[in-house]
Amino acid sequence: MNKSIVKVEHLSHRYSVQWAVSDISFEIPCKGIYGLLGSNGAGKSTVMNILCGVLKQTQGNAFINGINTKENTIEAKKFIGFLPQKPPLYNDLTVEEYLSYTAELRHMPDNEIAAAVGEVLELCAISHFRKRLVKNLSGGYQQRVGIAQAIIHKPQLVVFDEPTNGLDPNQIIEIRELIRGIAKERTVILSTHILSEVQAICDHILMIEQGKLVFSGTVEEFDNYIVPNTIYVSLADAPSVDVLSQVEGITQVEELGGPNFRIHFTDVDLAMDRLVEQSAVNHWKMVEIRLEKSSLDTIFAELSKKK
Amino acid sequence: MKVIYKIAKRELQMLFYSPIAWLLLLCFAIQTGIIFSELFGSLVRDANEYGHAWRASKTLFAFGDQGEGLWIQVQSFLYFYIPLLTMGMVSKDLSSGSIKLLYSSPISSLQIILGKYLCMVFYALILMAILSIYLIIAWCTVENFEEAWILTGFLGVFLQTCTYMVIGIFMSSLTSYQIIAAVGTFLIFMLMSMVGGMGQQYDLVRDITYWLCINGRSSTFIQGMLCSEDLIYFPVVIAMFWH
Repeated sequence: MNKSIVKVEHLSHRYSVQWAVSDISFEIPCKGIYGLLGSNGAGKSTVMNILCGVLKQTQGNAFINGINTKENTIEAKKFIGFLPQKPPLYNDLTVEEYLSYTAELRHMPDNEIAAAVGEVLELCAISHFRKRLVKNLSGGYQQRVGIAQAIIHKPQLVVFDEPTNGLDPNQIIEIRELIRGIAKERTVILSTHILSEVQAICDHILMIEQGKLVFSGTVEEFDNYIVPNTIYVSLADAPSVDVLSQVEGITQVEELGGPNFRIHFTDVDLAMDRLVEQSAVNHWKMVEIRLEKSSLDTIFAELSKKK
Repeated sequence: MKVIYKIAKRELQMLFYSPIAWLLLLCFAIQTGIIFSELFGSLVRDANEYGHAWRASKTLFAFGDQGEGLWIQVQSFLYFYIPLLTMGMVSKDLSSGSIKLLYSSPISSLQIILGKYLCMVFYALILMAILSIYLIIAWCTVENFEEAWILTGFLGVFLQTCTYMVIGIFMSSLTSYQIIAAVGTFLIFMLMSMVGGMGQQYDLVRDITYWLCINGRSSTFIQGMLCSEDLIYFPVVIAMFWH
């Protein structure tokens, strides 16, 4: 039987009196990039901290590679690499010393540490900074050092908590590229509240709102979460709005300027068929016709309301 | 065990990257140097004046005609140094977020604390190395040096330093503010010193407060006695704050 790399069962966590996470269950069976999406304070970091053994959950269970993090925390942590929201750096050490220390903490054999440090320095493109003090690096490079410590022991699961937070656009692109590279060999979970980031790098989305899991599925499923109710059509030789409104299955027509229209319908198949048909018969010279999808922002807002 | 040693090694390295560790070592060396040279000077003067110095080992390290010896004086000002050293041991990790690296690594909390404590014990050994310079000077120069007595006192000072350090680490783990940790450690030291004078009219309370009081606990060692009660006291207090 194949074990899931992550399995969470009825996970709940409370800070004093307030529940940060409430009865969350999900499973991550295979490699890929999983985006943990949610607004600020939704409970993403709490879930990540619990998975990585930084926090002990109030209720429920989390399994890493089949190992219960509550019962066998140390064994479970062997499969994890974690980059918290604020990189856990020691500013007074050089990059090389810091990475060697993180490798030692992950029980890497002494004779393999130097090679592993060299490898991650290369992978994260920070080889030229190996002798520099961590505190003298820019934010973007500190983030890379944080990523390097998370993958130095080649864990099966890498957890990144808002890895592109506070970086400039170029650094964001570089970090995303780096994460894509990491995900080729292992499972990556990353938390973010930036929708474009999810669309850019994630394969799957888990959305948490107010401590509850409100969505779990692929990015495509997320895109299609709200059933489209409009058709975008472009006609080179367009008739009047009134003529278009009389096509069977169409309830309303909006002019978008030029030859472009937004069509509201009762039945999508019927409306599309009739539009194509009428366009051919009446020589409206159809240039484009497509179902209009809801924007990610709209879906996010819709899911945020869901409890 | 290996990971504890590695944590200790790295903590010690980071401790010496900060000026505080060097500054405290320097202050400790100067302060103890002045005390020892004054005591030694008075002995030399006695020897010149009377032809020999009475009870030289005891005068230098325990107590004598010239007042308190080195061990007793070290014992009385040691608590100024320790909170400044231990204040950042855990609170710095808590405030910088690097504690998450330790928590997410496959090591237990006990190993983390043991590593940090071992680092402090190494530092205590450096302090003891400074003291041992005076010990060696005295051993080489004083005739019929009472080494067993003086070494027992040396052990007492070391154990007291280790006890102060575990209290400092305990306080440091309670807050992310280093200054609060330092002040808290001072307060605990003060409380543990003052507790010996509380409720002395009640036999039971007197017994308990006497046992809890850290003041003069190493005096028995300095007097040259190895009492099982005091030998147990230090590990028990260390274990108590550990938990």
